Parts: sequence; structure tokens; C-alpha cells
Amino acid sequence: MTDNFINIYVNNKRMQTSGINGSRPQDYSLYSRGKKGVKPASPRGYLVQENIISGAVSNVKAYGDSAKYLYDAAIKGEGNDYSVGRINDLTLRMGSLGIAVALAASKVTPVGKGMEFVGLASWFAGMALWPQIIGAPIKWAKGFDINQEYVNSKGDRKKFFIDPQYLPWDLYSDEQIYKIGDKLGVPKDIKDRKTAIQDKMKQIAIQGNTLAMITAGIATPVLASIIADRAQKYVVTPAVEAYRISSAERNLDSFDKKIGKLLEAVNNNSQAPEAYRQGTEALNRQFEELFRLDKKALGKLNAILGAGEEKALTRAELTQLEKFFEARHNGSGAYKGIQDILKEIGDETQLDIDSLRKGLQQQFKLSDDQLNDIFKPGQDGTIKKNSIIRKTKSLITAQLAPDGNITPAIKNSLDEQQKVINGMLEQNTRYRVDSGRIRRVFSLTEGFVSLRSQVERFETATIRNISDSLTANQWREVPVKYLQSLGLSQKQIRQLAAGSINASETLTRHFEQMSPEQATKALKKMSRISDKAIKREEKALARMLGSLLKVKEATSAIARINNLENLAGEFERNLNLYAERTGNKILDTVSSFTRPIKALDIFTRDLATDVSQLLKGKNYDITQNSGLAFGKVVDNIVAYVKDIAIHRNDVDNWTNKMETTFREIPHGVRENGLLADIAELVFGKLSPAAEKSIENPAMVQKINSHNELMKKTMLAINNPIQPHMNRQDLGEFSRPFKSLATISGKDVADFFVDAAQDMLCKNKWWKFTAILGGTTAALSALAIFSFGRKNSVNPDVYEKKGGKA
Amino acid sequence: MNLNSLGPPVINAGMPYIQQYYPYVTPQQQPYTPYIPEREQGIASPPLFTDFINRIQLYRSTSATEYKNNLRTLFQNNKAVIYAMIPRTFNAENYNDTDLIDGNDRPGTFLNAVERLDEIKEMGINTLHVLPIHPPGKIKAKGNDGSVYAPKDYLQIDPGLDDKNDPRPVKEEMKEFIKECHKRNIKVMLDLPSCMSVDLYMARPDLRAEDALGNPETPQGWEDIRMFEPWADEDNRVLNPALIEMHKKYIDMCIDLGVDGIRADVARAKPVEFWDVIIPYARSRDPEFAFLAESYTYEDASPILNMPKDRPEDLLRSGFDSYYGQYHIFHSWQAGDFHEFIKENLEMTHRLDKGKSLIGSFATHDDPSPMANGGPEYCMMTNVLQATVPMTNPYIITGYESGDRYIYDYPDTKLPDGNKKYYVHDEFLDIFNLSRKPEGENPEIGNHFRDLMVNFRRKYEDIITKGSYIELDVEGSKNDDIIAFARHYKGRTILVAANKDPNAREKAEIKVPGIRPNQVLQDLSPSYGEQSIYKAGQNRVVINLGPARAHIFEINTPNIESEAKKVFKQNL
Repeated sequence: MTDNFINIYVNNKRMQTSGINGSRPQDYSLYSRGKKGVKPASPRGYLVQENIISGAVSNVKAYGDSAKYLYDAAIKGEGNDYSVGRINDLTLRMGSLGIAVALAASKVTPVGKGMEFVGLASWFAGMALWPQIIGAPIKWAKGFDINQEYVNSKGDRKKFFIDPQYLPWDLYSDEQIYKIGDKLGVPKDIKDRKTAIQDKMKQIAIQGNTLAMITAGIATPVLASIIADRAQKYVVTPAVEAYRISSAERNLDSFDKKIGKLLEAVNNNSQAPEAYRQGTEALNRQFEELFRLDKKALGKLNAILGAGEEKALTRAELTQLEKFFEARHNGSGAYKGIQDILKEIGDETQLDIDSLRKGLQQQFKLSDDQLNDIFKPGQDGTIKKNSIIRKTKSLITAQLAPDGNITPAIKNSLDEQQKVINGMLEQNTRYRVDSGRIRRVFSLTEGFVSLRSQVERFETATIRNISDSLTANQWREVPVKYLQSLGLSQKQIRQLAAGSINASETLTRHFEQMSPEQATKALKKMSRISDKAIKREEKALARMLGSLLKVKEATSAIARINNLENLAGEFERNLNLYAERTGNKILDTVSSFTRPIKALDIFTRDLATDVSQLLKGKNYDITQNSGLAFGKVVDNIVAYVKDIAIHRNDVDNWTNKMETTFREIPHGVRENGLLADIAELVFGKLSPAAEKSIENPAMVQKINSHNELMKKTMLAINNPIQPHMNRQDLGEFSRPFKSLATISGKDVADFFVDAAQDMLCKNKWWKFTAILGGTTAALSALAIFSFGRKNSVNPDVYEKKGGKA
Repeated sequence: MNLNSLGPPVINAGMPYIQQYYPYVTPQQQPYTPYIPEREQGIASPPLFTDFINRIQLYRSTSATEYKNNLRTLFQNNKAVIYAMIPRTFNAENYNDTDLIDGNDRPGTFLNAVERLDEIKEMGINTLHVLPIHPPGKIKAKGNDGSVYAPKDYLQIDPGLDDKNDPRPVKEEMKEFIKECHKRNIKVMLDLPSCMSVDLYMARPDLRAEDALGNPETPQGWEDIRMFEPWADEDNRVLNPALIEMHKKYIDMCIDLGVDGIRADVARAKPVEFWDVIIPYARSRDPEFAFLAESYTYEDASPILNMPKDRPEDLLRSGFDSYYGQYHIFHSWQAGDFHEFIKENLEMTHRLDKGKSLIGSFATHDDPSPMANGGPEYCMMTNVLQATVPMTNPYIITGYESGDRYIYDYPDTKLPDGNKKYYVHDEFLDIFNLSRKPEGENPEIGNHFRDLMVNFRRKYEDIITKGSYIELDVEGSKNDDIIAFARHYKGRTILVAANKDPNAREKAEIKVPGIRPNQVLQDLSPSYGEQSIYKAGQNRVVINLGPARAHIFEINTPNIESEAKKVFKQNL
């Protein structure tokens, strides 16, 4: 039944008078009555929900978008506030990258260069991370992310709370808002609860963003420095090292293959003359394929030698040739061989007769007959210089003193003329040179230098003492790890770091106070560390020496095939020295890394018993004539051995026969037997307890055999210097043995002093960072706790539904 | 037909006179013939009476064909041609040197507005957009009379619009005005403000929107108005009954006045649920009651503080018949942007009920005069586009037809609070002050518009209002300034080519599938500006257009829809 007009009128009147304080209006709540009405459509934008991977992909895509915006703005002249703002982000990073590139160019080492870029990335990472670090506890405590991002209908990606005046609330569902409201403690029975929750969220977001901005000045540098420091230690340095080593190994492998083929060809070269000659040429060509010959330098050489196989060089040209090789190879290790070969040229001379004849004619006005006589060959068919001089001089004498009266003036004049004749002879002397041979010398020496440099490149990456090499990295890490394994307190580390004077005392005290368990643990750790480190060094050495040997074989073989014996000898000598030097370096490292282990063993074993057993029945000065009881002598020697182990086990002391150690024996230990016993204690085998602690028989064997080698080496100093115990000439006779310092390793005290200083510096830095960062974090946490809470500014007065609160 | 059944008598006092001089006869028996005053016949007669008689005649003639609102149908069929006017300035007369209407100047009123209705009609206008007619609030008002969009009372009419020489109340005068419009078959669409003045805010706490601290929500930049609170309980989507009630009364008032539809100012200021109540209510009283939304685009880029986001599609779903669109930024577009806009809107219509449309909002009172974008030639180019684009009801604002640049010479007087007394936006139509009648020095714009609406558009009405839209490819246009499209309906095609650049000629080649070299290109639009050159080729038209020139050609390409790639249609 339809309503009549009166009812419609009455109902309308009722609706007009109801007002907001009247009965709940019926018409206007479409949903409560179940009536379907128009609702707002879903928004075209969306909240960004990403994980780490998709977030990283978005970041990369963002850079691509920024580049496009830059192109649109710079080239097409198109843009809006969003796109131009994004350009700023890109150009900021590009500018920073440019600065990093410029700074990296001034750095020498790869790690130094790499760290410029790591520093740049760390800074931006710090800037990006800090708001997330602030946002995480807020999200946990308040239920929403103040760093939430969204994408609007145009595809622009923005932070949701970046502009508090414009918040696209329609992107959050009602359910999400109410859930956040529950977390925030907004009462459920209030009017406009959703608006109240949104206002609270806005408030917290502003507070959070403000906090992030205020603290960013401190937090960003702290974060950046932490990231950069960790990156350097765990990423950059290992990566650079690994890259350099693998690159060097790859190059060396390729090099080895090529040179291996050459050696095979050398071995297979036929001995039959013609075949040998042809084979030699083929080998020479194959040798030259191993390296890149400097064509420019060859051109200069050919300018001196000419195009043919032989040439008669003038004196000036010969000097040029000598200077050429000096400039290129003086100090290369092959120069002496080159000099010998060039000297041979000096022996092969010939005269330029025509030129000399002309010169004599012009100078002395000689007739043709006279000249013919001068240049008449001797019985052997040759024209000798002496004959020319004699005959010319005779003619001149006849000219000057026809009567045969040679006055002093005439004699002077004759002497002058003699000089002129000598000069002319010199000028007209030609040095016959085998140009092909000299070119061969050039090629060989260039090849030698080049091939050796390829092996040197491997050494540079691995065992050379330069920044970022394997050895350098190990030397930076191993001492610190050793120190950490000893369990020293901060105070003790500071004492160590203060310097060698206190270091040995600190170490001695600590070693003596270590319990067996602590000692076992320390020995185990140190042996593992050194095992790994030494193996890497020895592996690199073996690799390098293998290639070096091939270089030696190849260059000396090719030199010999080309009849350049001297050169071959020089090559071998030089390369042998190089190998020896490198081997010594490794030995030094092994000594340095194993000494602390041996020192700890000395302190923790029953040394008194060992000393007693060694001294029993022996008539040493110290036991017989010191006036001390045997036990006391043993105690003293125990103390001395420990002292030697910590900071006196060096070449100086061994060449002074332990003069500075043994206070009872001035001028050093004279008895060889005692010295040998001392050496046995210092360099002897590890104790059974130490061996058990180390657990690695191979490492035990290595340490023992190395110590054995060092013992023999140090003891070998003894006999030659023994007769020169008089202080005045001891220094002179012990000087040759000072070179043993290159293999004896670093003093244990110095070893740990350097480590302590390094550690202390790092600790100070960490302490400072921790204080700064920790304070900032703590204050931030306090602030976050108060976000969104009721206070005098935000009274949080809500109106209950259906009436006042 | 009983005169009384049509409402209160138009002339009560003069009835004896009428009956004495012009006996009542039934409409069927007495065709309308204008009463010729005796003085024109050589006989003197009271001049006042002339007017009365003619009004009666007209009244009776229109009553003979009873007026029926069909504004909604017009919008749905893209046939509304709209003219926006402000009653207080529409036919103001300025006798002194300033642009202000003061002293002895005559302000615009409803009654004197009637004098210009024939002029409007001649331009081809069939719909008036009457800007708000309520008394403006005075507290924190801008301008010397207050903004027309800051009403003090939605249910009152500004007494300033009352003709002091007429004894009738202003409401009756407005009705008279609307009747005169209807006689000329001009629909009247009243502007519904989106907010309230500070006065109304103070008077009606039940309508206020306030933030959590109790501060009024003011739309950013509009300090003289306040937002309405649309919700009683937003969480449960319960609307504010006081707001609903007030708007229902407003609708009742509109219908009683004879208004045919509403233009909702800043329609997004109220939620879709609100419109979902008000629009059906209005249509329950008048099914043809039309609703035009001031809404521009899905807004994410340029938000306004305290104003909800713009969602035109939601508004159209809630019952609006048409909306503004973004033609007002046409000057900043390239041709590609133009086509993209048209396509987007055509595609949108397929997600909505049939017959949703746009208005040709190239010029609005919220934008600077289009004269600033390129002078009269630019305006005439937009006339051509308005006349030819799909799903668009042509729209112009008062003063546009004569090229008014809306430059006012107001004195720079400051008020005690430091604000300007005569507040106005530079080169915008003045909605804040009692100001001169909008008019400029380029009547050719209005003439051009008239020719297009009256001659061209009516002739090609089917193609324009129902035809497909075919975007045409253009080659050789340097800055993408050539707009080229075709409209096709039942075998007939028109081609439109326009040069957007008001400063330079443009040469290009338009790819027109199916056109032959023998096609004669005769411009159907009135000529203006620099001459253009155009020639048809095989599947192309080579053009050399003058600055801001636009042309319309009918071409013989019956199969263009199947041959073209980009063909779009409105959901009708």
C-alpha cells in the first residue's frame, strides 16, 4: 500500500524536527538498514608491501626512473615537482660518486681505492637505515610503520607520512585502522574513532620523523663508520685479496702453460746442424711470443745497428749502443752479462783504410807512394796499427828533422803528431759487430725481464710486503688473533701497547700466571691460526718458485742455444737470488708466527727439570765458579731462557753470545756446550703437553723442524766468532751473520706490542662509537616510549557515542 | 487552461486592465500576436502597459505549450549548451569611471537580467548556469559584497538581487526570471555552494566540520568559508541529518522556483553517500532534475587541505549526470594529452550508467580568462573544439562571448584587518564584488560561438552527440600541437583539425583512412584569424594551419571506423 500524501507530509515534518539530538535518523544510515547505496570506489593507489629482495629491486628500479626523469627534464623540458625531486636524489648520488672517484684516484692501494666507494655507500646506507631503525620500535610499540610508502594513482612512490597535511587515508582499510587503534589504546566506544586513530597516527609519525631528523646528525656518521669498518674487514679486504690472488694465479697458470711448451720444444730440439739452426730460429720465435717486445726500443737499437747482420760501428755508435743497454737494463739483473758481450765487440776492430789514408794525406801532406808504403800489408797479409804508426811517425820525423837532429822542440812536435795519429787511428777504427747477435741479446734480456716480472706480479699479490698483499693482510690479522687468544685483560693490553720496556714484563707475568687450561686453549688457538697462515704463505711460495724455475730454465736455455753463455749465467744467478730472498721472507714469517707458540711452551712446561737434566754433570763456568748452588743456577738459567724466549732471541744476542742475557757471565757465554744447551732449550722440541694441546701432528712437526733449523743456524754463528770474543773485533766478525735477521723472525715482545697497539686503537674507536651510538639509541627509545601519549598538549579528550565523554 | 493553476497570478493588480483591453480567450482560439503599442500605430498609450501585455502574451503562449524540464535528457544526449552568469553583475549598468557598481550605478537583478535573455538565446544557449543567489556572509568576507560561494542562508535569496522598482519580493522576481528563461526554452541550473560562510558557521553548530581541537575546517586558501560536516557517525557511514535536511529544503526551494537542475560547487566536499540521498530525492520530485558536478580529475597530485579528494567517477556513479573535466588546463596540453583525456572519459562511460557526460569547461570562473592563453583566436579555436568533441556539452561563462579579460580597476583600499576591500583574483571573473557587467571588445567570439552552435552543431547534431571519436595520427608536427580527430555516425564523417599554438603556423600531415585526393575540403566553421591551407591526398590531408586555427570538414569516408586504429565511443 502506498503512503497517502498526509502521511508523507507528517513523516517529512518529523524528519525536519528530529535534528541531531533527536531520535536516530533512519534515512541516512544506508548501511545499517541493509540498503545498498553508492560507496566510494577502491583507491587506485596502494600501500607498498615489500620484503628485502623486492625492496632491493625497487631501489634499482627507482634509479632507472630517476634517470628517465633526468632525461625528460634536461632534454625534453618536462617535469613536475615529484619527478624533479627525484632527479635531486639521483644527482646527489652521482655527485657523491664523482667525489669518491676523485678521492680513489689519489689512493695507491686497491683497498684504499675501494674504501672510498664503500664509504660513499656506507653513508647513504646510514642515511637510509636510521629512519628504519627508529621506525622499527615504533612499529612494534604502536602498530604501524611511520616509514610506510605508497604508490599513488600516477605511479609516484612516496612516503605515506611525508606531508602531514595530505595523508591518503583511503589506502588504509578500516580494519587496518581499527587494529592500529586497538594497539594505540584509542577507546572503542567513542565518536569518530577512525578519525581519532588517524589523528593519533599522524601525531606519532610527525614525532617519529622529527626524532629521526634530530638524531640523524649523530646516528648517520656512527652507522656509516660501523658499516664501513665492518665492510672493510669482512668484505673489501678479503675480496681484494681473493681477487688479486686468483687473478695472479690465473695469469701464472696461463704463463706456465706457454713457457712449458717452450721448454718442451727446447728439449726436443734436434742436434743436427741445419735442423738445429732452424730449430733455434723457431725457438727464438716461440720465446718472443711469451712477451711483448718493445718495438720502439727495437727501432732505436736498429737505428744503431743498421739493417744487416753485421756492421762496423764507429766509436760513437759503440758508445750509443752501450748507453742504450745501460738505460734499459742497468739493475735488471742481466746487465753484467750484456756488458761482457759488449766488451767482446771492442776486441773486434778493423780500420777504415780509405778514410785513414785520406786523413793522413791531408794532415801530413804525404805522397801516394808514402801512403802506399804505410798501408802495405805485412807478411800475414794484414795492416797493423803499430806498423802504420811507426811508418807515419818515421815519415814525419824525416820531414821535421831531415838531418836526423831531433831537438827537444822537434820531439815535442813529434809527440803532438803522435797524438794526432792515434786520434786518427781511433777515429777510423771500426768495431765489427754481429748485429743479429746483439738483437738476440736485446730480445733475450727483454724477455728475461718480462718473464720475471710476470712472476713478480704473483709475488706482489701474495707474499710481498706491500699493502693488501696476502702477507700484509695476514700480518695485520694474526698478531691480533694471537693476542686475543692469550686472554689478556684490557689493563694488560694497555701495558703492552705502552711499549717494549713494559711489554716483556707484562707478558712474562701473564704467561707465568696462566693456568694449564688457559695455556692449552691459547696454544691450540695460536697453532690453528699459524697453521692456516703459514700454509697459505708456503703455498704461494711454492707456486711462485715453480714458475720462477721455468723462467730460469727457459731463459738460460734460449741464451745457451744462441751461444750467449754469459747471459745465461747472469739469468740464473739473478733468479737464484730472487728465489732465495723470497724463501727467506717466508722463513721469517714462519719464525715470527711460531716463536710465540714456543715461548708459551717454555713458560708453561717444567723448564727447571729440563735445565737440571741438561746441566747435570757438566762443568760450565756458571755451575762451577759462580758460587751459587746448583738449584739457584738452574733457577737463573730458567729465568734467562724465558727472557731469551720473550725478547732476546735475536741475531744480535746470538752474535754477542748472549752477553746481555747472562748477567753472571760478562762478555757472553764462552762455552760452546752451554750455548748449545741454551739453544736446545730455546729451539728444542715442543713439550708433550704442548704437543697435546696443539692436537695437529703436522703442525707440531712443522714447529719442531723449523726450530731445529733455527737452532742449527744460530749455533753455526758460534764457532766463527768464538776466537774473536774480544769486544773490539767481535763486531767486525759477527757482521756477516747479521743478515740472519731476515729469517729469525720478530721478537715475541715486539710482536705482541704491535698487536696490542692495533687492538687498543680499534677498541678506543669502538668505545667512542658505542658511547655515541648507544646514548643516541637510548634517548631515542625513551622518546619513542612517550610518542602518542596523553599530555598537556594532546589531552586526548574523546566524545563517547551518543553523548559527551 | 486556468491561469491560476499555474501558480500565483503574475499580475494581480493589473487584472482589470487586462480584462478591459484584452479579454481572456482560450489558448487554442487565440494565437499569439504581439501587442503593438498604439504609439507605434500612431496612437499614444501608457508605456508601462506595453510591457505587461507582452509578458501576458508570452506567458499565455508558453502556457499553451506547457513547459517541461528535460535538462537531464539534454545532458545525457550531449545537447546542453550552457552559459554561466552571476545575477548581480549580469546586466549591471555602470555610469561612473570605476568597475565597481556603486553610487548611482545599477546592479544586476533578476528582472533586468531578462533583458539579455534573447541575446543569450540567439547564441544558441539552452541552459543557464546561475551562480549562487544567496545572501553572502559578511564576517571575514572577501570583496565589498562577499563571495557568492559564502552563503549566509541557503534558503534565502540575496535581497541585493531584488529590483527596487518592482513591488514583488525577490523570490517572485526570481521565479519571473526563470519563467522567462523557460519561455525561451532555456533551462536554469542553480549553483549549489559547497560550504558555508562564517556567519552560517556561527549560526549552525550542527552543520560544522571541526578538527580534533575544535577548530573549524577551512578549505586551504578559502578563509571566508567553512566546511560542512557530512557525517553524524563516519565510522558507520551515518550522514549528518541536519545537513541532509537543509539540502532537501534547498532542493524543494529550487523545484518550487522552477529550477531545472543543480550545479554542485566542489562536489567532492560531500561524500558519495550524501549525493546518493540528495539526488534521488530531487529526482523523486522531478525526474528530469539534472546534476552537474564541479569535479575535475582523479586527484592525487594537487591535494587541498581539509578538502576530500576529487573522484569524478564516484560522483557520476552517485547520480551526477555530467562533470567539469579538465578542459580548463587545455592550454597546457599537447595533442597527445588532449586525446588521452577524451579517451579516458569515453572509456569511463562504459563503467557507468549510460549518458554520462562532460561540459566544455575551457573557461570557468575558477580560471583566468582564456583570452590570456592566446586572445580571440584561441577562444575561437576552443569554440570549434567544444562544438565537436564527444560527450561534451558546450559551456561558456559570462563575458567570454565578448572577450572580457576580467581586468578590474579596483582601488587598492585596505580594510582594518589588513585585507583588501575589493578582493579579486587576477584575470578571473569577479565573484567577490558588486562589479561591472562582464563584457569585452571582441564580440566576434560570441558570434563565432553562435554560428557554431546554431548553424553547425544543429545540422550535424547526430554525429556530434552520438558519433564515434577517431583519433588521427599526425606527422610532422614539431611540438605535437596539431589536434586531429574525426567523428563518425551512420556513414557520415566530420574531420576536425586544430593548431593549438596561438603564436605560430603549423604544417603537418594528418593520416585520414579512406580519404581521397578528390575530396573537397570546405570548412564548416566560421573563419577567423590567419588563413590556413589544406589539401586532401590519398589517405591523408596536408595542412598548413594558421595560429590557433581550427577547421571542420565533412568528408566522404564511410568506412573510416573499420579502417582506423583508434576508435572510441561513448556509452549512450
